[in-house]
Amino acid sequence: MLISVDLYTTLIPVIVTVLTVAVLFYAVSRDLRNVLAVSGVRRISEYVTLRCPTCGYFKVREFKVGDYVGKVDDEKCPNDGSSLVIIGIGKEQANA
Amino acid sequence: MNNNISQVMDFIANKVSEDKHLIEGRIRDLMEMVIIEPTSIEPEGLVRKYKMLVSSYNDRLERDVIRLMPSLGNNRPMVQNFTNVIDVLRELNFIYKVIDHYYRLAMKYKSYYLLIQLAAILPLLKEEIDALNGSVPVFLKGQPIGDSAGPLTVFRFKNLCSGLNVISNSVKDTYLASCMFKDRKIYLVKAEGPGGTVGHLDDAIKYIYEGINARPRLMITIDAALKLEGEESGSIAEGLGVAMGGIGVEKFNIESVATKYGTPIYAILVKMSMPEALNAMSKTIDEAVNKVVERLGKVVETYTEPGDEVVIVGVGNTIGVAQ
Repeated sequence: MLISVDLYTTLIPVIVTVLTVAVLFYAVSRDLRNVLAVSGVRRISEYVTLRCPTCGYFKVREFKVGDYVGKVDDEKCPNDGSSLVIIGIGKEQANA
Repeated sequence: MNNNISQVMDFIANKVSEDKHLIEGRIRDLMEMVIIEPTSIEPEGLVRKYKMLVSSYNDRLERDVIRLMPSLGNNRPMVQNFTNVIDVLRELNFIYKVIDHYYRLAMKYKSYYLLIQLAAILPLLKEEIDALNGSVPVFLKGQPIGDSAGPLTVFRFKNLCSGLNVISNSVKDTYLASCMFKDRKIYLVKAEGPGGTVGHLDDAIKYIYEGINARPRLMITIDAALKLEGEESGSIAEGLGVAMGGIGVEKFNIESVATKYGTPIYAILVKMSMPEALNAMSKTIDEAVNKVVERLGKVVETYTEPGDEVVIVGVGNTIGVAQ
């Protein structure tokens, strides 16, 4: 049995549908890529810089709640035994 | 918003002994607090009215926090940090309400032009909201933020001076000291840390001129400034005038004193984005502060003579930065 197929009435909707799906897929995947790029795994380290007021010895360690710039830390200088002072607190952000 | 309140409640869970439900309810009440601007129909005395209003607001908020959690009463920095958190929550609540208002109006009158306008500014609002959201845990932990660049500069510059003399208890929440740097007498002014406060820098400067009777040859203000998109974070700009944000009350008072006594005002700005200004200080800003300290020394040497007096003002929130 012969089926009469009208190319214009069947192919055009198919092409339009395929194109729409392709555009939607591209748009969604691009948005997803953007979101992943922004919220990708990041290593955030909050650090504290300590300095010996006597000899200038420097040390960097992880931030602890209660730390502030100007605080005399419990840690001692390995050179002269003076108490180290916090001179900076910062956040380093890098993609893992 | 609820997420932020949960963060606050989690943080204070084992730090205070008061009823948590009561605290949460009261925080929500404080978020609704409104501040009514003084009328400007008659501008005479407007700055004084603003100053009174800002001082009353800060005092009231601090007293409310202490009343809410009396167990924090002895820990002033924590009370100040908590006050900052409530300030941030108030701001977030206000933004939420305004967006919601325009959305509902657009729906009510089927006016999609309103929605289009809202959609146009949404990316900018999102950046601000993200910045405020991110600042809540930072304020709770008491870490220095980008805006602390000014006070941190003063702290680091202090280490280059000799003969430090703290002029104590002169102005509330404000650190004032004098020291010697390359034969110049330097007056150091910053908010008193490590609690989150901006201090009363204008009162401190007035005290230097009228309380101590000093006649500084130069005044240098250091502050964080919002960068334009094309500018780099941590870049430094120098200029003239008072580097200070806010509603302009303190700026006006400092300008008035400097003008009265004929002191030129020099400004050093550390450029950063809004999220950087409100979030934990980034390594870039931390390093920029060291450069500012170097520049500060050069400015003092270049524009003043040995024997001169100089005022250095670290402007900004001193959270996480003591003296």
